[in-house]
Amino acid sequence: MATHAEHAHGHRRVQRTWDLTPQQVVTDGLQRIRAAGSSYRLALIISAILGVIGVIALIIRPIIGAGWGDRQAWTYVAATFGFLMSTVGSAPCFSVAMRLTRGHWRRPVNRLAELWGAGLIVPFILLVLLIFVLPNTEGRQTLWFGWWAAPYLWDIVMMLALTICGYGFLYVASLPDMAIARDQVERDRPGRFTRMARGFRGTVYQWQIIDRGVAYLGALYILLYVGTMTVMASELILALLPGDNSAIFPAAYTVAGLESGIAVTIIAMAVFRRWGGAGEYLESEQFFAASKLMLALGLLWFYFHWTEFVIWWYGRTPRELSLLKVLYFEPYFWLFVIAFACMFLAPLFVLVWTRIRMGIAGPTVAACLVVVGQAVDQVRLMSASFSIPNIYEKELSIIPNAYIPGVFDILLYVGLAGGAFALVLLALKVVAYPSIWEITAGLWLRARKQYYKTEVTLIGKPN
Amino acid sequence: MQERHHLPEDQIIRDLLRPVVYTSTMNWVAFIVLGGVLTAFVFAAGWMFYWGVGVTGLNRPNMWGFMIVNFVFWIGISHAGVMISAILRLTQAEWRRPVTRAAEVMTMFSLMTAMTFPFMHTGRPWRTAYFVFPYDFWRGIWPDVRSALVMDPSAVFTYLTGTILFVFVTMIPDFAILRDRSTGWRHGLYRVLALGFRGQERQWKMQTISGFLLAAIMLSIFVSVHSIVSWDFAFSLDPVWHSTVWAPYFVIGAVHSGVSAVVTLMALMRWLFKFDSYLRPEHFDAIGRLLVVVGSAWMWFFMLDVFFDLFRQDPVDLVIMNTRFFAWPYVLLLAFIFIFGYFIPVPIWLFRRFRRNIKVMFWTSIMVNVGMWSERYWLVVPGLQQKYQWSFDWTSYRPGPIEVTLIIGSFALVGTLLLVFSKLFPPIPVWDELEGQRFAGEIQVGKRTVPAIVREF
Repeated sequence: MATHAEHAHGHRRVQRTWDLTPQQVVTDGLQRIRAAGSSYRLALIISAILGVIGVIALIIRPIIGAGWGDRQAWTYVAATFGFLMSTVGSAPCFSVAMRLTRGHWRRPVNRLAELWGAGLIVPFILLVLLIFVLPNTEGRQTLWFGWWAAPYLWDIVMMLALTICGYGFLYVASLPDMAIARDQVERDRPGRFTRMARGFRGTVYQWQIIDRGVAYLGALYILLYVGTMTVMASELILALLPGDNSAIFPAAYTVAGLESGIAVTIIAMAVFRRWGGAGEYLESEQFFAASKLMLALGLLWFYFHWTEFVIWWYGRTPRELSLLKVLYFEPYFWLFVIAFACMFLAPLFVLVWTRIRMGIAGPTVAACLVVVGQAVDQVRLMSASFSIPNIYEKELSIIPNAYIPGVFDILLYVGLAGGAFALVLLALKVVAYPSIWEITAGLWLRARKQYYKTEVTLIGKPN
Repeated sequence: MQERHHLPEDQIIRDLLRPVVYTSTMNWVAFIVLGGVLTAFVFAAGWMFYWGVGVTGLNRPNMWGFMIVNFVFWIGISHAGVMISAILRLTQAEWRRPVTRAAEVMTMFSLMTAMTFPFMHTGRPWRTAYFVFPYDFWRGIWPDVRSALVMDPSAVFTYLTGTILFVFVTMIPDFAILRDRSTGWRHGLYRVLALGFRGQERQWKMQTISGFLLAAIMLSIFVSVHSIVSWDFAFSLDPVWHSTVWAPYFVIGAVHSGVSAVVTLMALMRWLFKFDSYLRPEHFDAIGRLLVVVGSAWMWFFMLDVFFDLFRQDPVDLVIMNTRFFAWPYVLLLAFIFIFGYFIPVPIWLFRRFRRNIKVMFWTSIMVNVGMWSERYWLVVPGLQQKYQWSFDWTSYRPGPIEVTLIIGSFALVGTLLLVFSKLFPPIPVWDELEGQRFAGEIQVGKRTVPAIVREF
């Protein structure tokens, strides 16, 4: 008798990961730490060069333009900040969500999602540079209602807290693997793993600390991420668009970020499977589950944007019509179309088919389109908000022309994103992939069992 | 920690069919009490139909008051069914099994109860029969189909139809079990409802696939229904109503109140029907964790609505926000919203020890619904009572005893319907529990035996 899974998914084979031995998992996990391959080195060099180009473009752009005070000159810095927050910043949230739901398919994926957090320092630095371009809160729309040192101090504090929490989360979640690396790689010569593992020996008490640390830091990270994205959406977009008090926009901005975070994780899964030797860990089960979540968030993206649009359309006050024009229908119409197609239509039409979700190529293509869509959408939003000459009006009186990026804008957008990626690659030299302790725990919590005419897997649920 | 006891199949069937065959003393007491309140509800509605809507506190500009608040509240409660049943079914969460039927049936009865309020609000509900049939296009009256007030009945009826189908499909195997164990008129009833189900492989396949498909379809309906209900308010230009966040805000609030209502129902079922072996602390633990996430998301949307109402510093918005925050009775309702809706229950639910305590979960779930009812009132009424430009047009809304009776009676209506349902059909799916028993197992990890479940891949 065919199983329900076969009827629903046409798939019967159990993932090879769970046939591995703990020793094999240790060997695979320490592989990159011991010796990096040529493709890794090439990727690291290219992304580091891009990072340097990005920094140079960041410095030169205001010098050759209208100066450091010209808000429009910072458009692409803001877009880069938004893009990195929506990718590098949100991927760890995906890891936390997977841990909360306690699915076992997540074990080979968690570390990939957490690793992206290694690039958080880049958006933090960008925010520190960007925030002082904004005027103080007097006389304009703001969330801070006259608080002392707002928005500068509080925005930086939030972003700093998020950055520290992100690095802390990555560190605590990979601490047991650092201890394994200490014992396997640095046996006689204490080095960085000995310092970073901090005496972790796997006692019951230490494991309890790891469990709780991962849970609390993860929950704190999500709270900080949602809060930071809410504030940044308000600060960098809503506050600069006269008359825009769209309460759904911060939620839409955050959800778009979460969707992109899953997308970059899926892309990382595909890359590691193809070039990183992780084919035994990343199979259709991981792509199927991650792509379902990405599809759900794509639908949510559409829903939030639709509710904003429909309220403004029904209201049709001059204020709302101006906002519809500046954000959707006039200078940035084609950018909106591309973002709409990539962040909603593409995931919908590609991932709605179960057979495609069960494959590797389908989710990867959809994820790439989501990332492209996110990059374009950030340009749309920041170009619109940073181009407004008078942000003290009660409503937008003139729709500014579209901001056309120069060479240095493109270089800094691509370059700084590449620089963040370089940091993620560097993190692979200290953080093992796959996550040895989590995969090994998964091995212990699985057993095969004959069930009538088929074979099924028993998954332990200790909680 | 494993709490499931491996029970013989006969015992599971006997335990879960006990409410159908046996009426306990507490059941009779509940019937009598609820019946009394229901009588008062019918009397209050009849009084209002006879004397007119003027016996309520509704008056210009407060044309909407308790009745629309209650409509929104019961539509919100109805979202629990889809949340728990459809989403958890699609994600194959094992802990959903004893909870789904009660959630789905509560959805059905909440929707029916919600729909009575717009009818009663017309003052002469019989007239809806001859302005709805035939619909106004044929008589030269052109209702604006772009209006949320016209889309609303379509959405709610679609949701009700979908829910009834969903409940029916998921109950077919249980109708078959009841058919095979009953005589007399019940046997005839169950035989018709069972549609010839005999447990054959193809029938199970069809039943499972239908359940999945309906669950997926219901998800989109569930989002659209409460979004359209929110747009009854947000499409207008009334200050503080005309907000872009109201659709998802209403939906997440509905899930928060609905899932809390399911917790209340689970605790009552466990107590009334002695379902201790089926509604275990692990189920309350799982639903409590879900509620932490849902409650926090609701609080986020609530804060977004409040902050962005103040964002533009519009004078009209500021006046109404001032009323909402500082004027009586809204300041009390705001306290209820914060304290009962979030700041007592959610911190309690963070602790496993309290999530697994049935009494704590029962009382916190009731608190949430007190907070959520207050929230609906707090959202709707202040915007109405100060909607006109001139302050001499502003009045306060004072609900009368008729409205209070109608509100309390609506709870009795839902309770009575649920009790009647439990006398005809098992409130926990028997086939689902039997399946869960088969899928439960154990594995040895070192010296510990860990509970496990079967997965097909």
